[in-house]
Amino acid sequence: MFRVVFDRDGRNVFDMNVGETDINQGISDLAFEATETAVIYDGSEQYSFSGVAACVADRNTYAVTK
Amino acid sequence: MRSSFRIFEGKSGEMIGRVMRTGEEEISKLSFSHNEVIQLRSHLPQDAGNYRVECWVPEEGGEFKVVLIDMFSVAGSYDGGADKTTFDITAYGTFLTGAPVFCIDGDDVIAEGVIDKDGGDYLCIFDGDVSDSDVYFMYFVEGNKGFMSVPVVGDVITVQQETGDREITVRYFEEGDNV
Repeated sequence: MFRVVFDRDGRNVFDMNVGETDINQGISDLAFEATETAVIYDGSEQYSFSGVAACVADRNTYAVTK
Repeated sequence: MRSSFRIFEGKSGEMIGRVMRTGEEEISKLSFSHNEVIQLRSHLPQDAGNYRVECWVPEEGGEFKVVLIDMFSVAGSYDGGADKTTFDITAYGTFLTGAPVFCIDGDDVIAEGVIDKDGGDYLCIFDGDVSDSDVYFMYFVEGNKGFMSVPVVGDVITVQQETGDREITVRYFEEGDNV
């Protein structure tokens, strides 16, 4: 499981847990909906999910989408 | 402005990844911009830095779909014997074999191709003659909320909210030295 935290000027914009599902919570309150998927690619291999693909080598790609 | 992106292992809480940004070039809001194309850059930067685009909708709301285009200004080469068109994007960096690439053909239909490696060259391969087209990477995120953070390497970067009327925040920035 991953927990992803995105800060902007020190303020949490959203905070997510990957691998856990809670249909009563969302990105802004710590968890994913069951319909959402997080992808984290490091550019070492080609992967695709929904509209997000790893294209550039050795560069990270992150997404949460359904 | 300073911001950061951190990835933690869920159970232990250990930080396993971090992106720090020391400067941002642009913040664009796609508020109520259905079908409006926002151009984040029109040419390659001179500094050869690593640039990235992030966009997100943090709260639940109506359905949306936002599309990011990372386009290359390269000419295609059509091989009539093989009935294939190739675009050489080696000058733009290194890429992953099998990654999807797109172009709009003469009938305004989006065609999908694939990246292949030929020696040290990275080629975008399409069926048929689409040599007059612009080739690009395309990413999208959709749903009630969500985000994406992708590296951008092409000449022209655009974003568009194709579905919905959500307020979508987009950031285009150069990654910091400690990425």
